Amino acid sequence: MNHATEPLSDVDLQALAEKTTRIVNEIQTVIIGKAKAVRLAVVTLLCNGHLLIEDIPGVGKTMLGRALARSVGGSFKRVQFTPDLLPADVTGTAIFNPKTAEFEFRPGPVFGNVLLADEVNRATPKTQSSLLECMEEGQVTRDGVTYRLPHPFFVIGTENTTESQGTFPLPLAQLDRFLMRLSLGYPSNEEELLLLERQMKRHPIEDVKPVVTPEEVVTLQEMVTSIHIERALREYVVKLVDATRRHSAIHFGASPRGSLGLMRASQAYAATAGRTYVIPDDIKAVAPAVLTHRISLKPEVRARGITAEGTVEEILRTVPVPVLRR
Amino acid sequence: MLGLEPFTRASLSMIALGYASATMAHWWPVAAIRALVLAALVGVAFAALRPNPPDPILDCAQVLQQKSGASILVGLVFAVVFLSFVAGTYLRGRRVPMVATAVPALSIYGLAGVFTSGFSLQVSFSGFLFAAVYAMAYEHLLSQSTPATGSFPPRRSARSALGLAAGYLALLLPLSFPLASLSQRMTPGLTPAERDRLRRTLFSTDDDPGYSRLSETVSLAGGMRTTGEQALMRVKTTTPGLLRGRIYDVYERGCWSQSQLIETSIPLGDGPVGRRGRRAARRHAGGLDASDAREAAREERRRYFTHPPRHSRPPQEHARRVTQQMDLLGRVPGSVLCAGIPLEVITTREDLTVDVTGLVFGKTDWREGDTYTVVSEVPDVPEPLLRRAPGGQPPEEGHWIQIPVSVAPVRELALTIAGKERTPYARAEAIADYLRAHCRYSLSVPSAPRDEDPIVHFLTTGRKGACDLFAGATAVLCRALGIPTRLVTGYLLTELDDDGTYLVRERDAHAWVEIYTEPYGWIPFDPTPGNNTPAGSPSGREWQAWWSKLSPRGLTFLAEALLLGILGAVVAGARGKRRHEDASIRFRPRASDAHGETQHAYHQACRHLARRGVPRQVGQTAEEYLAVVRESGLPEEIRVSMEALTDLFEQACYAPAGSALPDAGRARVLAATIRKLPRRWKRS
Repeated sequence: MNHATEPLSDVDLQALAEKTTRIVNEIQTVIIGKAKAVRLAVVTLLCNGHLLIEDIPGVGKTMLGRALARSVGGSFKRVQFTPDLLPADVTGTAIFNPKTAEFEFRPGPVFGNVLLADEVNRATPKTQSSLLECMEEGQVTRDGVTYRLPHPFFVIGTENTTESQGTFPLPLAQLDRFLMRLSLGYPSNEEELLLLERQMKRHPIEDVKPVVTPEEVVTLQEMVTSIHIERALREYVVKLVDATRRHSAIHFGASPRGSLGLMRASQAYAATAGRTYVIPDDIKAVAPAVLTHRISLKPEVRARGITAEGTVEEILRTVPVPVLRR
Repeated sequence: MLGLEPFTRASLSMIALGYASATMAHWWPVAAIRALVLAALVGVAFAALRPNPPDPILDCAQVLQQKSGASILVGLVFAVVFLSFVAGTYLRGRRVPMVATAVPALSIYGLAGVFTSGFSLQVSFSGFLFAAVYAMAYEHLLSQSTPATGSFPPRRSARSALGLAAGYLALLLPLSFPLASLSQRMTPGLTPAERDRLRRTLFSTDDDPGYSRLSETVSLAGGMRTTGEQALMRVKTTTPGLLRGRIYDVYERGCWSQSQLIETSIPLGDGPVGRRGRRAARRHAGGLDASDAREAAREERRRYFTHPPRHSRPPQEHARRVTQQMDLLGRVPGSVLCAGIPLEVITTREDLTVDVTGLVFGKTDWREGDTYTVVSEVPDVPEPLLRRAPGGQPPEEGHWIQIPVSVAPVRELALTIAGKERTPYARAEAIADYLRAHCRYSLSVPSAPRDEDPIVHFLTTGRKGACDLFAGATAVLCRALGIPTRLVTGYLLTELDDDGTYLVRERDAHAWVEIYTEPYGWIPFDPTPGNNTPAGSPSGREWQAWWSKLSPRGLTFLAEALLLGILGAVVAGARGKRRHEDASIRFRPRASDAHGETQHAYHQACRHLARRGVPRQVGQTAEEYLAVVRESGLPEEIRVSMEALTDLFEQACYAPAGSALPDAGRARVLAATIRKLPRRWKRS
């Protein structure tokens, strides 16, 4: 893919930035504060990636997912993952039609533009993997027939980390399918106060309106790919990912999919900032969300209280930033 | 263990303390300790190099007199210490690294190593050096950069860092030996005398131990014993053994001295002069060397006969006469040194006196070039006879069995050791056996506590000492049993040269005792283990033997080459690392191009701000650096310029090649504005 030949025009860029801002603003009517997390969530959408939101209960994981899904428009599906959920409940199932005397495929919730997979770690690995297969391949194969998923296809998974009982934590291989993993954290006192005030009468989620159409999202996704990223910065991306593989505290570093995701996400991030080119700050801004869930720390390191977040931050701090054009 | 010099111990503990604090640098009391160590090391180095210090570690005035080469060396060390600090502080910002703390210590140590030829000092110096390198390597690891490597340094766990540092040590320790031999090679050509004087000025801890100076008192206080290589005289004799210099009878407050009873001396009457003297000289020196006889004939020599009046002499059948000719090579106290009781002295001097014990003294020191011949009577009694000989009262007056109250605890010990024996000699032997079994010979003896007698300390707690303590303890123990005993200092003849003469060096200084038996008189008795001369601590000798066994000349050469190669590799690695960093930090100007000029302007601005205490870290992006600049309290104008310049720089550095060119002219103007920031400005 050539980035330099097809620079984004200013008009296109303006449209992109404007639409992004609209989505962000729309979501922020529901999610108070958390501008960075919301922006990253939108960046995920622009990258044609999938989003995993992981946090303690009640900070708005599901709300963020719902708001994002609603603001994009298109068909929105939601699946509450439970231990008894079966793969067919997600992908769809073949039902015998007595009229035609044939098995007829009933599309499952994955056949939507936005799928909110709530508490994805509550389902059994079997169900999880059926979802994750769809995420990666954009298609469902049932009884030898392949059904294409609609475009855009955006999965928002949420995960509750506080409880471990009755959950099936996603393995590293499946976490890798998500472009970003975000956590929201508690709001500040002022934000929380504002939240209370807004929800005195009714929940604002009802007011969230689609601000972009799915077709527009596809266009935006294509535009993002033509954001320029300088060769030195591509090298920087590779160095960062490579550093996660060499780091002594890390057992498994990020995959090449991680590098790809990091580049894509930084492009989208630059686009949301209204720039036609990536600067190192874009990479640094998305790197924690892109890399943290792709690495696994060594058990002995984890026992000492070192977190993946801290390790990624340290890598970002120490890897030399390219400040020279080659 | 190696007998570490006090200086080494102090330096090592400083480094260790500073290092320990370096590992916890974030905690402010530790940072304070670190600063303290830094200050102390710098202070020690500079106090030592200051001309005319009150208590000189290195007496500059003396060094300067010695040799111009030495003065240049001192100047160089001074400059290196000073410059390394200035440069280190400038380059690394305000935080002076531990590397810098080692510089003055190493310089001083290196200087000390140059002026001393003691092998144990070389070894301990190397040990010190590599401990410092070890500490620095570890500190480097902690600060996230491996020394002299270009690779990206990942954070290591403390355990793996320790392991790596241990690896450094394992690699570097074997190199300390070639380093020692290299430093030996590079020692400037000072004469042994010059070197020795410097060594004394470098390591004079307490007062000089009297036994090597033949001074009026012998202090047993701790401190470094003499190991000087300086050649004092050449002795022509047929019999090796002891050279008596001075006799002491009073022991008080840790110090042997002469009582008035034996101090009184009478001038020797004029002997026959002229031809008779020459002939006598020829006769006595005859059979030794004809050229010396000629030399003696050239000078006006006097021949003195001492008439031992009241002091005891061994019976004729148990005495032999020894003739010794001394050629002085250095300055030696004026005692007429000889094997036994002097009978005849042939010399050009006129100021000789004889004291009660029969020893002959000159008032002034012997100087280089002086020569004298002495005939003396040495008791020659077989040991079985000695063991049977009963004790008695010596005819000379003197405090021969006096001991001070401070050594009272020794009495019981003396009885336990030698209570069974009956005769003086057997008792002395028992005591010497006890000392050999329970005490260790060492040249570096820690001082006894002020309120404790050094001999009691040596016998009960210290158990470590040189010949003076062994002899002193034997004398006191013998006296406690009522045996008339006296302490004798002098030299031990050990080093036989090819020409059949004995060379006496400063390190041959020795102390022993004489015990009185009937009817043989005063019998010399040496309780020091292994009849050691103070030629270096035993451990030092072991090292030396080990090393000489290990390293034939070729091996040493190879090791040195290896060392130099590794040093070169380290330097090359460090250069490579710098280049690697340069590629990402610095800009190679491409003047023809607006992108290049803008980047150049930005980097100039960064470099300027870094010198004002606001450096950009390698891991910082331009925006992050801008945030730092905003918060650093720089003038408004500078901040605004930097903001604009950062924007231009980002455009120049990261924008696609086909897009609008950055405004290089504006970038230059902005950079110029930033460079107007006065040199005096420092981040508050």
